[in-house]
Amino acid sequence: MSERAAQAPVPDTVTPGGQFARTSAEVAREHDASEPDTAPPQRRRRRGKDGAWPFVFLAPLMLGIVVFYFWPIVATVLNSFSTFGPFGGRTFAGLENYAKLFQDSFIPRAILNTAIYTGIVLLGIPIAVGIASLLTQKGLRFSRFYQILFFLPAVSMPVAVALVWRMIFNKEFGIINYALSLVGIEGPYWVTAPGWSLLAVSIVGLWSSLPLAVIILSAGLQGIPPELYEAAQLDGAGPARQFRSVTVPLLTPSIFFLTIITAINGFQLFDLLFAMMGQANPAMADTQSLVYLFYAEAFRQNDQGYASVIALLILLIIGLITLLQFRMQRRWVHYE
Amino acid sequence: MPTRRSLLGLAGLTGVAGLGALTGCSSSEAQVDPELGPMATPEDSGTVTYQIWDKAQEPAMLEIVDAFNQHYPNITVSVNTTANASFFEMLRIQAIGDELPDVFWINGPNFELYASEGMLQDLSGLEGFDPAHYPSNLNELYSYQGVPYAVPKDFDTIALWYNRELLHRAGVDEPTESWSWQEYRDASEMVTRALGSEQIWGNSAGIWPQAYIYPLVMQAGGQILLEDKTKSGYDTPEAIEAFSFLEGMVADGIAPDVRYTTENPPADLFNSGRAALHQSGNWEAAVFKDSPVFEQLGVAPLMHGRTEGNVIHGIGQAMNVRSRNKPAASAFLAFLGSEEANLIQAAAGAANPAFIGTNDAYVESIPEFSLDIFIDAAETANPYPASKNTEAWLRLEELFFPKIVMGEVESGAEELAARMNEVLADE
Repeated sequence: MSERAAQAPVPDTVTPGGQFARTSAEVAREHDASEPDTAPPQRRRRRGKDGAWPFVFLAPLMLGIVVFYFWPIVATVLNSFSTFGPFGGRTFAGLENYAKLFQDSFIPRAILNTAIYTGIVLLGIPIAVGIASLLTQKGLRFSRFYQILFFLPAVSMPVAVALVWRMIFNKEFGIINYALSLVGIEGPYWVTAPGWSLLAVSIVGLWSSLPLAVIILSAGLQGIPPELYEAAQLDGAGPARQFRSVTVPLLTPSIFFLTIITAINGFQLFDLLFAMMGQANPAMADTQSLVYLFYAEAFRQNDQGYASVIALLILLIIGLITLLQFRMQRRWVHYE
Repeated sequence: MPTRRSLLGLAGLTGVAGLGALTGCSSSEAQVDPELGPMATPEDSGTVTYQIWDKAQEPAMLEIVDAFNQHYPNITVSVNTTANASFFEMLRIQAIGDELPDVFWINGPNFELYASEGMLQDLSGLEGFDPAHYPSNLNELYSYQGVPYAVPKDFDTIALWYNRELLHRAGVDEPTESWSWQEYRDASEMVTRALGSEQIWGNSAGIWPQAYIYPLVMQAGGQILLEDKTKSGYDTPEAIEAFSFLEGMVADGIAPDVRYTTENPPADLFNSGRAALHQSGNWEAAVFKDSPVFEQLGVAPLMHGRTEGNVIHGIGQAMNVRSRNKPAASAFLAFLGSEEANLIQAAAGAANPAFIGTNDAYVESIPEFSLDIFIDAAETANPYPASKNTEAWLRLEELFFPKIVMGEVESGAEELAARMNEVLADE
């Protein structure tokens, strides 16, 4: 104890800036507090007087966040005011890139496409609620097997998934149009006709988003106290009423979480679209998503400044939609 | 359950996290000596890095390196073959980091970008390199402001591939010389009408710029780039005529539309005996020689419109202007351009060599196809149209060619030209 107290001032005095210099009494008290037998009330009293130490311990994490998350955002903002040379070197471009955003006729269409895609994929949540409640039914046989089945899309490679679906959607040889032909319907060009292509991509997006939703909702369902169902039963509620009045309200936190995540993922639609549509697709001009436009501008047109503006637009839209959802949640999300 | 704040953070961050890579790390403006300097002598030692993108041609390139070492035993050449799809993304990163290989392949769409930005060595002083040995349109492709910056390696031109079996079944004589547009259309129509019920088409259609659209626009008397590459040629009456020709065949059900050819690529249709005519380059020979309908296939000269119009393209071999091994790199690059090296790649069947007079070995590599048609076409072919930022308007072509061929000929061509003009103005 005395030995440690004698050493204690050393780290404080070497701290740059000197703002952490404290009286020896404070230092001694602090080291008292670090003893394992210190009572909790004392600890609480000293909170906030730990000086820089919490920040020192947080620094490695913060460094990562700053370098890999905040700096890219700042850099994107800076880039959005720049014009780049093909081999590095930038010049200040003012608002030129932003002006281009308002003239680009692809942008409104891409916003619409991305919104439609997100809307369709969001329909997966009610479907997932149904699937999850079926899967968590008491006494369901092979429930583990069904869970694995529903989780398979989540562990498949997105590009492989997209290519297989592309074959399934083939106009001449795909299994979907074959099935349609059996009932006398001539199937469309699913991935190469405007309109249909967005629907096809959305269907696959919905399909791939189901596993995560089912897992989260299953966990949410298992967290509902069984006594609530018993009470509901005693009050004379049948299964349908129980589902509507107990299950759904208590699932709303999970559902809310899923709508947030799904909306964010939806607005980031790229790989599925890219892999399913391929290059030189006649429907591409009418199916492009915002992130696809970003990719095309950044890596094909080599206009990184304008691409940064598109990225910021995506950020803004996602931010606004998420904010809106948090505002709306008070009306429909029940926490217990 | 994530908190509200962490979710909001997540929302924002994922949107732009990938962008950090875009932050331009500006290359250090090291002193560049633009002089080529003296070439290594056979006794000199040194190392050269050589970067290529075609795994299939790697054995032939290694053979050339062996032959080079007969002359220069003390120069080590390391051949680096990278994935074809990411070659130019990688090259750009290498250029930004001042890590370009000493000698590397380059293509038409990317050449002017590197040449105009001062990344390539002026080769006019390269000992043993004489442009007269190569087709002049290839020299034109690989010159910037009259200065050669790359040594042509090989070339390809376009011709009319046909399936004689399918033509005969529809009562069409196989082409022996250049057809007119009308003959092409008539032949396509007869095959489609006769064999369409078997899912067989008269021609394989598609919208491949180099193989189909560019030659047609040129045959109508037009050009892809006008006024010293500052204007798009797509809104000219000649281009519209070419587009209308294609649109007409699709509208009349003679040729498959773009939705169909996106799902079933033209080369696949022809390769599997489901299209009788297929306009494409000599690069297809290596594929078609293994086709299940190989014995039915032949090749004829490209059709003509108001005029002849063919497109020649080939790989170029360039030297890094900042290379630290210029004497050795000069010796190697000069050897790559030599008759000896071209004969090696011809004999290997790797590619149709650019050195005039070394094509025989290539032509004989598949005697069933008259590959000399492609060689003959080189004389009058136009250089592959390229500008500084070719990739930018290639994307626009991908977006608009489908619309145009599917019916929006004039409005689509106008919008394509307008957008392309913007891109060209930014160059």
